Amino acid sequence: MKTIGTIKGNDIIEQDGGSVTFSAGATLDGDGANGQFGGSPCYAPSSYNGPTLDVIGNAGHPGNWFGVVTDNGEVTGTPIVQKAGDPCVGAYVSATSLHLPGKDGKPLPASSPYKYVDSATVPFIVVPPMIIHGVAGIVMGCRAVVTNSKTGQTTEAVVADGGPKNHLGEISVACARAIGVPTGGTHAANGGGAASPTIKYQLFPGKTAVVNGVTYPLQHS
Amino acid sequence: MLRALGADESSSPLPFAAEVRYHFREQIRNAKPGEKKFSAPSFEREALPVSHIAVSAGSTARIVESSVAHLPYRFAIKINRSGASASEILEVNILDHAGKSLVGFPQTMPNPLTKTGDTSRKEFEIRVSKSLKKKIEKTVLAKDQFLTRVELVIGADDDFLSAKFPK
Repeated sequence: MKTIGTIKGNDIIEQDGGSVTFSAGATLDGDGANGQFGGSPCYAPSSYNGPTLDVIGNAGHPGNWFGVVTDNGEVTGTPIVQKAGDPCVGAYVSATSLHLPGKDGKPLPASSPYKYVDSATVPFIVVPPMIIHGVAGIVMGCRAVVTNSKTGQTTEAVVADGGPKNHLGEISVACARAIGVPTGGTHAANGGGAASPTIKYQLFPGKTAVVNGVTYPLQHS
Repeated sequence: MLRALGADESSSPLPFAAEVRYHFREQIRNAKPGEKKFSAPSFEREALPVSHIAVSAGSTARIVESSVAHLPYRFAIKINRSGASASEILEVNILDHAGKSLVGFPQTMPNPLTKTGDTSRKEFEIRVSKSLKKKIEKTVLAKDQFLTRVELVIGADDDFLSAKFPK
């Protein structure tokens, strides 16, 4: 085995069998939640009548939308608002790094709420570039197992988003709920999390993830 | 006047801790067309001291009064339990260097914190000026990261109380 790197005192280890392990706390990522499976969306305009997973300030503001999909793909664009026929009418479209294909197997447009992995209902984890680019196998979309060593709760998960370079340990809202990590009171992805490095992560680069009966694609980064 | 005593823990409000969270995202410089251009959200944290007990006639309180290195503010957080009804009130105040409360503070409410579950924490937004935002980005965040929000988070669950914070 070898150490890929260390982030804030937590070693990232590539095991002899090819899996990657580390222990860390857990912050929460609501990105990708667009009501795909009936859960709350991550972000919505103030006119939206319902709960959101995260505070709109973490998505941006007019002229600088860094956390939602816009009509021109730029931060200066206008956020896409879900319309009739979409899963969560009135909510913004929030993105994950991992992109899902349509039912026909073809790529979905960036504006499709179904293109992204739903934080509200799908256990997923977020990893820094050090892991994405530090191992031979494909990381984005690969299988992961997440365990809360305090409670013994464990869940299958998929690597579905990319995090900052100096942060280790980030999970979807659904993953937090699956392993007994507190979520936020008003906004589930805001305020919760595990501060102590009691969450154990194991990734299997190159191995397809199957979560809740859904098989996720492996995606080159 | 409040006095700190070895008060009866069972008759005191639950212990709580508080921290400031500096939420940010990171620009992904080498993102290819069609790829996500910004990282998932994350945050850096600064902890305030764990609460201490103070008692006065007819009431018991848990109090945190302190500041953090990267904000020019003083925090005064109190959960007060009155003897007769055992009802608890959470008071949160954030004051500037002149002792004036920030806009939106103080806030007073029935204590929403529980020991477990999704109501074990409560968040309060701290509005920061553009100049303070720049200063935080320079001193707290890394290259390509930008501040999206600052919050005071108060929590009563075991994980929050036992958190080990980066120096």
